[in-house]
Amino acid sequence: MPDLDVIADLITAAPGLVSLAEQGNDDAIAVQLNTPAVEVYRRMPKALCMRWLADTDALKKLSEAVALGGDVARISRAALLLLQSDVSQITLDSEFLRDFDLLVATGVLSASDKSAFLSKARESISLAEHRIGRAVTVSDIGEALSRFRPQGRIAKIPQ
Amino acid sequence: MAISHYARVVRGTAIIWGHPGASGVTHDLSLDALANGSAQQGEYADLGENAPAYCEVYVVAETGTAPTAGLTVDVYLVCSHNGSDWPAKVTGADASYTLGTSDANLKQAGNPAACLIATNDGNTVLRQSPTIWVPRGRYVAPIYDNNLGQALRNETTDTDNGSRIILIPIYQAIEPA
Repeated sequence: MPDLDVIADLITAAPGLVSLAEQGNDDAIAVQLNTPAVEVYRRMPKALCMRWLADTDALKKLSEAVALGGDVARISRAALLLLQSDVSQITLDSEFLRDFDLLVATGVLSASDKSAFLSKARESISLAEHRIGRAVTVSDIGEALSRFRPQGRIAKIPQ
Repeated sequence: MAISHYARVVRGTAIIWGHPGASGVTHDLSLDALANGSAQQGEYADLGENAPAYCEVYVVAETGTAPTAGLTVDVYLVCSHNGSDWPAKVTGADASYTLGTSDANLKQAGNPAACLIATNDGNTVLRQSPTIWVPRGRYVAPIYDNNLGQALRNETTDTDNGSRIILIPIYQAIEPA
């Protein structure tokens, strides 16, 4: 059960959570693991993207870069197609971010253009969602910690 | 015509499961500091040859840190015809109970006989309104499954723990008027 192993690791890595586990307060552990705490960049909704385009005039910059040729022109053309398509959101995977960095490195877009883009895409998610893709339940906590509870009793957790 | 006899119910001697040596306990069920998500099985009781028609079941839980209201303790009562052969991997002795993958062991015990619904009260004894349970065999053993999100109270002296399962046999008697 890999999810339970990850949950156990998350708990034992945090002294505050270890203390709660030793008290048997699984409820509080679940609350903490489900509280937004990690900033991630996963997707950009199209509506926010339109706002970014208006603020930075990125469409004009990309249109001008098409004439430059080479990789910059190729990526600029793809970016224009994506930005003008009817997708509801843009997935910020590693390939997308790599191509974005190239546009910044070659001066098509500025570093502040990138910062503005990412600030609109920034999400705060919980540690549980970040590590196992879902919220944890109190039952998950009990199962994950059962390995540290001899005979089902709360006990000190070895560090 | 005068009535010669009438039927009435008679309460038998209570069977009280709780921490060994705790006040009033007749059968062992070690509950002190029982963690959330863990279960304990208890020493089996003999309901006798003259079986009760049904039993009152009382579930009591002593909390430490206050549980979230609405979470539960679930009590299962499993029966045996001979005190040796048990379903649900019950042993008939006071011991930690293995729920099994996906609670498969516990599911063999059937539906809970009683559930205690927690209120958000810490360091106190919670009591659920009693239920009625019909024995399926002469011998009965409990499973106390803690789903409160908190451990039961961790007493300095284990026998101070007030958590219990109380079973009161109810017999039907025919008596002269």
